This record gives sequence, C-alpha cells and structure tokens, in this order.
Amino acid sequence: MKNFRKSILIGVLVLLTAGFAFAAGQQEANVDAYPEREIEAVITWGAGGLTDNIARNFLPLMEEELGGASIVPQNKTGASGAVGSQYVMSQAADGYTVLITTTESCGVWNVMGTSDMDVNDFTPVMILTGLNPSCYVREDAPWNTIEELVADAKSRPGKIISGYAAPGSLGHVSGLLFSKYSESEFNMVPFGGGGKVMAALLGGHVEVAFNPLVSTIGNFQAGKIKILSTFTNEEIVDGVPALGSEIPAFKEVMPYGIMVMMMVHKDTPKAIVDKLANAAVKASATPTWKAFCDKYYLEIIAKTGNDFQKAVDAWKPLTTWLLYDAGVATKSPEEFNIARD
Amino acid sequence: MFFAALQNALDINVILLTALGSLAGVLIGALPGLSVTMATALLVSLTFSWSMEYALAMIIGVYCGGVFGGSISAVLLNIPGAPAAICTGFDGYPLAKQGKASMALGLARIGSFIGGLVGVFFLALFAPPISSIALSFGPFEYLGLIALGLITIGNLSEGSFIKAILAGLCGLLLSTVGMDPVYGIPRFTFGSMHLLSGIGLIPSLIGFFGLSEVIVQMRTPSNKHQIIDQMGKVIPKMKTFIKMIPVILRSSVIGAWIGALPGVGGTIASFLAYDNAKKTVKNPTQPFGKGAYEGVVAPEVANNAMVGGAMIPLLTLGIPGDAVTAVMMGAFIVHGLQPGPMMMINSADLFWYIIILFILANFLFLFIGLFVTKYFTRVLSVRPETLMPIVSVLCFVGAYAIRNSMIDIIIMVGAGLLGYFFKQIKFPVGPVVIGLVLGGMADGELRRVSMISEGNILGMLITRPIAIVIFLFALLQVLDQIGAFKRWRKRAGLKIFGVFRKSFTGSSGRKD
Repeated sequence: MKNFRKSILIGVLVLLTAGFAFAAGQQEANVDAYPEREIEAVITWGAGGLTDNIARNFLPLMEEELGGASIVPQNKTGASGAVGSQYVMSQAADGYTVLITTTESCGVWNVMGTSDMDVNDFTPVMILTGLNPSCYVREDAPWNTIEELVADAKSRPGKIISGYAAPGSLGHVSGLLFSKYSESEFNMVPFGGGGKVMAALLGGHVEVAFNPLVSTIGNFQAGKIKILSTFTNEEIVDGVPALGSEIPAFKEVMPYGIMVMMMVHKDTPKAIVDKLANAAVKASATPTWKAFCDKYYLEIIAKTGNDFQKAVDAWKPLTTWLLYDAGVATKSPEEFNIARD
Repeated sequence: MFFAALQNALDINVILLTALGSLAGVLIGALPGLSVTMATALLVSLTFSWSMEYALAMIIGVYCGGVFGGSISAVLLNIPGAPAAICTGFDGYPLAKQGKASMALGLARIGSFIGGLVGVFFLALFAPPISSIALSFGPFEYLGLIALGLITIGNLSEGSFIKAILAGLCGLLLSTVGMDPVYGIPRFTFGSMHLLSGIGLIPSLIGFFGLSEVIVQMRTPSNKHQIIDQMGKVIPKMKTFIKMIPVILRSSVIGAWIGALPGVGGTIASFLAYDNAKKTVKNPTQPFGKGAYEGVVAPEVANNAMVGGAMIPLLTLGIPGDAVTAVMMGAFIVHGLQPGPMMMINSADLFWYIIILFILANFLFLFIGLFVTKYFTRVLSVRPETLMPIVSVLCFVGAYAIRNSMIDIIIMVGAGLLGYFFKQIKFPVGPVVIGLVLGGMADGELRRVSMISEGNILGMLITRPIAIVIFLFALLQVLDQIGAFKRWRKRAGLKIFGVFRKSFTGSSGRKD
C-alpha cells in the first residue's frame, strides 16, 4: 500500500508540473485569432464607484466591437490604484489583461511617493472619458457668482472652508488649482470621500467644494446647491458659467479634469493593442455610449496612441506641480523630468 | 404609488429572487471569512444585465440576510461573520456552550427581524427629517460619537475596564498603518504598497477571532467538547420576550439613527446598543457576558435597524451610509438612475418598491433563517478535529478573497497569532478589532475638527450643542468608572441611563 500511495503522489506531481508547463506555454498567443478567450479588465477603484460604473457601461459595448469577445471586469483596489496596476504589470503581456484606471492615480504616484510606477510603464489603449469638476456651494450661501466667491476669499484669506475627498483626489487638485489661478486662499479640509463632502456641505460644515458634475447634478436639480461654475471654457450645463469664460486667468488651464483610461502591459504586441484600440474607439462612437455620457456629463475623449500620450503628458505638469507646491506631494516633479507648465 | 409598487413586487420572480438573496446572504454572512460587502460587490457584476427590479430584489435580500448571517458563526464558533456581529458573540457563544445555541440563534433571528422592520419603518416614514438631522452632524459630532465609542470599548467585556481599553489601544495603534488622511503620507507601511490602504478590517477580524480560536481549540483536549444542544427551544418564553421589548426598542432606535449618519456603520451601532443594554437591564436573564438573552438581542436589533437607516442618506441625498449602500448606489447608476434627491421625486414608485423589498427580505430571512440554523447548529456536534481544519481553510480563503492579496493572508495569520496570545493572557479580543475600526475614523475626524476650527477646538466646540451633549455623555462614562463618582451621581438622582425605561414600562424594572 505504501508503494501505491507513493506512486499516486508522484503521478500527481508529474501531472501538476506538466500542467504548469502547459499553461506557461499558452502565453504564445496567436495575434490574428485574438481574442481567443476571456479578457480580464482590472478596475483600480471600488465596485459602485464612478470609474467602476464608467467601465462597466463601456465594456459591453467594446465586447461587441471585438466580435462578441468576453471582457470580465474585476475590481482590484488599494494604494490609489497602484495595487491593480501592479497586478496588470505582473501578468503576461498577451492582451488578456487590461487596466482601467484614472489619471489622478497613475499620473501622480511618482510624486506622491505611492509607487515607482507611472503611466509610461504601460502601453496606452484609449482614454475613455474626462470628468470635469464643478465648484459648488449650498443653496443659501452668500455668493451667487464665482467672482463673488473669489472676492470674498481674497478679503479674508484662509477663512472660507473648502472640502475635498482625499489627498490627490480630483476635488483636492481642483481646489488647489482654483486657489492658485484666482489668487485666493481657502481653508481646505479633507473628508475621506466625495459623498461625505457633499453631506458636510449640505449640513453647513464646509462652505465650498469641487466635485465632478455626475456627483453634484442630482442635488443641483433639486435646488439644494448652487453650481457656481464648471472647470471648462464653454458652458456645459444650462445656466452654469464656465470658469474659463468668467475669470480670464483660468482660460489657459481649462478644461481641467481627470481622465479614465484603458491601458495594457508595456510589452503587449502592437497588433493586439491596435485591435483593442480600434474596438474601443468604435464603442465610443455608439449612440448608447453617447447617451450614457450625456446623462452623466462625461466628456468623451476617445484618444489613442500618440494622442493619448500627448493628452496625459499635458495633464501631468499642472497636477503634479500643484500637489508639490501645496506640500502634498513629497517628491518634486523635476525628479521625473516634468517641467513646470 | 404604493399599490403600483406592491403590484410590481408581488411578481413571483421578485419574491423568489429576494428569497434566494436572503438565503445566499445568510449563508455568506454565516461563513467566517466571507462578508456581505464582498458579496454585494460581486452582485453588481452579476446583476448588471438584469432589470433594476430584479437586481434590487437580490441585492436587498443579500444585505438583510447577510447582516443576520454574521451572527450565526459568532454564536456557534465565536468567530463573527462581520464586525457588526462581534457583540453578538459575547453572550451568544456562552449560550451555545451551555447547549442553548438554538435559542441564541433564535434570539438573533427575531432580533434582526424586528430591528430590520423598525429600520424600514423609519426609512418609509421619517427619511427626510432624519436626513436633515443627520446632516447637521459634522466633524465635531462625529468625533464625539467616536470618542463615545472608544470609551464604551471599556465596558464591552465582563473583564476589567482597563484591559479592554488597553486592547482597544492596540487596535488604535494598528489603525494608524496606512496613508495619512490629510497628506497621504505612508505610515508604518515598511515600503509595502499593499499596506498603504491600512490593515484590512476583515482579515484582522478573521484572524483575531477565527484563527486564534482554531489554535485555542486545537490545544484543548478533545473530551471537553461534546455539547448536546437543546434543539427544540428556538424562541424564548413570551414573558421573557415582553421584558426585552424596551431593550429592543432602544437598540433599534440607536441602530437606525447611527445608520443614517454616513460612514459610521453597523459596528458602532451594535456595540453602543450592547453597552446600552448592559447599562439599562438590571436583571438580565443571565449575567452579561455569560449568556444574557438581552446581550444577543440588542446588537442584532441594532445592526439590522442600521440597514434601514443607511438607506436614508442614500435615497434622500445620494450619499451612501455604509459600504453596502455604496455598492447599491453603483447598482442604481449602472441601471441608469441618478442617485440624489431627485431620484425619489422622479421615481417615487421605486422608493416604495424598495421599502416593500426590505419588508419582504426581513420576513424571508426570518423563515429561511429558521431552517438554516437547524442545520448550522449541527456544526456544534462536529468534533473540533474535523471542524477546525475546515474553519482554518475558510479563514485563509476569506482573507484572500477580499482583494486577492497575499498581504491580507499575512495580516490574518499575524492577527491570529496575536489573538491567541491575547486569549492566553486573558485579554479581550473584541476591543482590538473595534479599535481598528474606530481608529481611522477618529484620526480623520480629529484632524478635520482641528482644521475647521483652525486649532481652536474647544472654542468652536462650545458653539455646538449636539457635540457638547455627546462629549459629556462620553465623559460621564469615564467618570462612572470611579466608584465614588458613580455613587454620588446615583444619590444626586442623575439617573441618566434609566430614563427611557420608565417611559416604556412604567416601572423601574427592579424587583422591589
């Protein structure tokens, strides 16, 4: 009996080893037949959040453009998106793992000291959408226009309380950007989440906040908040002026927001990247997608390849230097060859 | 509107899906290591292509069932299925060891059911006013509540106040690991990216309670373990039940209100309710910590009432009350809705539909829970030599399943070893986990308070009445530890904690 058990054990070990070898061999994917199996889309933010929702609405449209392939979304959160990105980097460069993340995570890891990784460590597929913030105050606040707010802030610097979600978040950087270009100072307080900022504002604990329209539009339509302006050059919401047209100093830096992007492992074969990019661009042009983005005030960007690279490269300097000047980023963007804008 | 929603809900598919969700929720909640939050997140994917009505039926079923389910493993194995079930185990596990597991689970089930219905009641009728009051709670008030929570930790175990506070402080220390809430600077992460999000709550829970218990059991000789359960008795006598009504009402109010405060959550609700029960019930069925029926009922009522409460900010303002409601909000968006005040104005049908689903889910888990617990209590008759290895596998799987990270397993094992050490030196483990939960919140709120008041904390605090009351309450808890003070307070007639009892039962509850 002892010998029998021994041989079973050896047999199992042999099978396992053969299995591993076989699986490793699978990496030699056939580019023309791509995609032959399920593609895993790693979303670096939590289920139910904005990025997650954007991704989950987009992926089915992309599946169709890829000839009915199956793209399975998976949330891998942590370290502002570094955990999910690290995972994608550790997978095979065969196009079967795709990363969906946002610029305010992967674009600032290096200066924030979160990780050594950077956007350039991945190959771009497509920038899906942009999220532009809006500056909002409570319905009964004393300011009716953005100019009134700026004037008041200038007259008592650091007294008006402004809320944001977390260090490095869109709300935070928008607030810093606003202060810098309007030359006004606010008392900026972090709340740990966009929802909590809204609750704090409605409850009168903070007076100003900056958040993407998709999060504020509900309360705006219910008349509970006033949106003083959007971070764009043209009006995108009826009756809400664009920052670029109200205050000249902002023109050169508007529109500002973050971008939701899709990337793959750096060494993925170009043919596969192109297939993905083409499918993504086509999915972006569908009426379903347009309707979704209109509803939630998402700016459809749909840039691939070099355009993608340029857009991200243009975004980085403003954000990283703002964070560094505010003392939030510990490393200087100069270390990473990002010159001031 | 209500009847249109009722018609929608009486669709057999909806009832079946809610039942399926309740069953799945109870099972997932009961298995140590799997959490309702994780299950709900998975559900978003699963239900993406379903209609909104069916998706909600399943999600709400899982939510309600899951919160109750967490009490099952707390009672049977002393391994809470979720942080909100930690207090249920304090009296539930001793009851199980006395052979009364069915009774303990029955109490948890009925308590959860009643709490759930009260929560829905508040949601259905008082959502707007509760929501306004909840909004007036700012960083000062939150800090007060958390301070109250931190001090209450001392009262949780029947052992010494000091030991519990020390354990809580350990938890607070562990909670500092991760990113600073204001500057994002990593603290105690030893260069690991995975620790940037802090020490995971669920892996710690699994480790401190689960793995440590496995080690304890494996080191105890096996002939001490056979417990025959009094299977028949699932519900308490009517007289006992009626005496518990004040506790039930108080706990459900605590649960519903705390649920309405975004970000606070079921853990705090359940242990504030447990503490309140401990303070206000003068003659519990058995001493607290040794199998008091009230000690099982209070936290379970509170954590299910919290569910209804957490829906209030979600449905009135578009702000999720806890992690599960955050996922639900995502489900709304995925189905094309815009969570926020307009959602209820534009889709009042949906609001009533959700209320009906909650009521349905509560009834469903009441009955499903009955069948499930009959099978689960058999777990007690399984020998530890067989059971503990299964439990430890579940611990590893559960820790890894959260975010597929090896670091969570290391945390779980570390917590398990530390928990075992704590148990050996007779320190309570519950406070460590609660400290871990509260620490991050305390840090954030204190920083906010300091920033908003520009350093002049006391100066601003005195302008905020609600905060003052909460802090005084917390101070009172500390001072009560001094025997002389407590005696003086009672003689001076300051019977603050017993106030509600008089109004509900018309007597002081004492055997005079």
